[in-house]
Amino acid sequence: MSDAMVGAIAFVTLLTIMVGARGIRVARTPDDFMVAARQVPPGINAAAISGEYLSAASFLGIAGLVVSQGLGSLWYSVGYTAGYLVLLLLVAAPLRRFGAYTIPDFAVGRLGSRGLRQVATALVLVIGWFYLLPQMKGAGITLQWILGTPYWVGVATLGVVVSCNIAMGGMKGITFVQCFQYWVKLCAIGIPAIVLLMATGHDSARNLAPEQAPVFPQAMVVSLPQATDFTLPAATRVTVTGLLNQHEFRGQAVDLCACRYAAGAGTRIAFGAGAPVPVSLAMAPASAQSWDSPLLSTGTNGAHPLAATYGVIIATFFGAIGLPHILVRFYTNPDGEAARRTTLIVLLLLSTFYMFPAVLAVLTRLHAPELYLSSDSDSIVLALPSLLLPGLPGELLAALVAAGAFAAFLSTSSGLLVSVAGALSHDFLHGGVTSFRWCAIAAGAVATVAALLINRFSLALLVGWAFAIAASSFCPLMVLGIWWRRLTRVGAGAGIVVGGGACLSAIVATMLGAATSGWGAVLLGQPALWTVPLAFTVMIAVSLLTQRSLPANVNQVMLRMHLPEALSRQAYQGTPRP
Amino acid sequence: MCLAIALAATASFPVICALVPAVGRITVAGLPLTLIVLGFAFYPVFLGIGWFYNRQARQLEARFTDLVDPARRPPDV
Repeated sequence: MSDAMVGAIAFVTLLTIMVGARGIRVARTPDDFMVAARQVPPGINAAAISGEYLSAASFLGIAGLVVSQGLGSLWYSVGYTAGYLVLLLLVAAPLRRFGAYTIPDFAVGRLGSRGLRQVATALVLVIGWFYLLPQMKGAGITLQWILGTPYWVGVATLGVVVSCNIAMGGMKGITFVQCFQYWVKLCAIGIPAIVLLMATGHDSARNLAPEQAPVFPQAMVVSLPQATDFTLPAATRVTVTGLLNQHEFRGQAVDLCACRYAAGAGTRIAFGAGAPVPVSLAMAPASAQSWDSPLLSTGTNGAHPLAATYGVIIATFFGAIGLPHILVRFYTNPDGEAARRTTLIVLLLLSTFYMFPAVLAVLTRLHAPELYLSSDSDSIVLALPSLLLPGLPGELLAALVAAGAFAAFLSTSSGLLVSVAGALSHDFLHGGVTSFRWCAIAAGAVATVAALLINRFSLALLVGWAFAIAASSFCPLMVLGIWWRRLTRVGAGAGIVVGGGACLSAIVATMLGAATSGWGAVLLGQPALWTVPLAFTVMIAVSLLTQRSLPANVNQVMLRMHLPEALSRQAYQGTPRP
Repeated sequence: MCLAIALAATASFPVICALVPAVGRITVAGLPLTLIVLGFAFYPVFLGIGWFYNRQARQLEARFTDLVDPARRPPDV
């Protein structure tokens, strides 16, 4: 669309590769290569965690979802942040003291079972790939929107850049890259939000009034980039140039009723001030509840919003603990106390970031309601700056947003790919650096191909599903593993398989369109609601039945996780951590 | 306990809004209460709970270290 945006994306990508390349010289031993040698100070580590965590869903998805589905979608951003609070309260320090750097390592170290490692590794792959898909989709639609390239070009570009970068750089490079990416992302969403807020003022809050459809704040001509079906909430008189309901108009005034219309590509419709805003099919809310409702209806076609809201709350609050690419970062803290401090800083960094998608969404609703007609939910953040701020400033802001969006795809998919490739090469191939490189390329290729098939699901929904799987498999493993000494390997395995399997099946069923209304849609579309309690129950019940397989060193392991470092140094004098 | 407070603070909001729909319709200075609570107000609460928990955990661990072996007490607490 503009040279500035293309330049910005190329700049971020090149800088990422260069900062990553700096790491190659530093990374010498395989151990350095896998985890950045445990010498990262909390501030940098926290920024790296946040940089890795803030994905396409946070950057593009949430604001778009809020605009199209209502304020209830903000539960996603609240939940993504609260996930770190739960992580801080339940697992941060013990996990660091334990010393494992992947979830399969934790499972083996805590419960001493090889079989469990295979199960955990398989699930790391499932969650990792699931989480990679929305990043790829984000890249696809961003390049589509900026350059007009087909969807697959963006997907393939991201896949190639990330796979090659990881195959060359390993984790040392990635820590600096991730830290840098957080600040890129914060600037890229914060600066546009603040500038646009100041540029537009806050004179009219009309479109925020409860239970009211949005109206155009002033007379406005909307041109449609592609053929669009839309519905109008109330009758109005407009001027149309182009194709509408298969009639060719040349600037005539037309009376539109409150019903559905089909406009051709390139049609321009002029609305008067105060006219109701038409909503395209792509932006139509899933439920009839009002826009300002605090409940959420994504993924369930608007059925039982209260239950769906709790589904998202459970998935996001407890999902962060079980994300495979996050745990590695806790290993890079020097001790448990530093792990807690790092997590608190992460909480601060995430809170700061997540205020801005809400601001952008409200600005869209107030001042650029034409995006309800001319955009789709995931492109709103990209389209907003040049609409609200015409000329060069708007273009520069748009370039900044595009750069930030690309930073989001690059950083999250890098972190995920490291985990997936690490799990593949370490647990299935027993290989060193070379096998890690090939696994990175293979895993990237699989994600790229899969991403071509999931274009129709919204970004925040896809990421929410990855959280749901993590919350119903690894979260009970970590929480019970750390706080309950009677957990057995059979119980843990059963809980992971039943919880994760049930959640995955529900999501696949929803993707295939199994249930579209009523409780079926809620239970399949937001499965965390029942699969998380199910996983905990199974894990506890089966453990209680198999107490004979309790690992012999359980007391020693529990002690290591919970003893402050000042004492454990005494208890384990001279013994290096595994 | 911190977890209970955090969960109660956040998870009660949807129920309150569902039981008393009027809460969802409150506006403050033209902005819906939902926007203020979900968009901004939760974050300081999370940070406060996290900060409090960190302080408690550090003090508890220092007291415990002191109890077991006073010589190893970290000097800064």
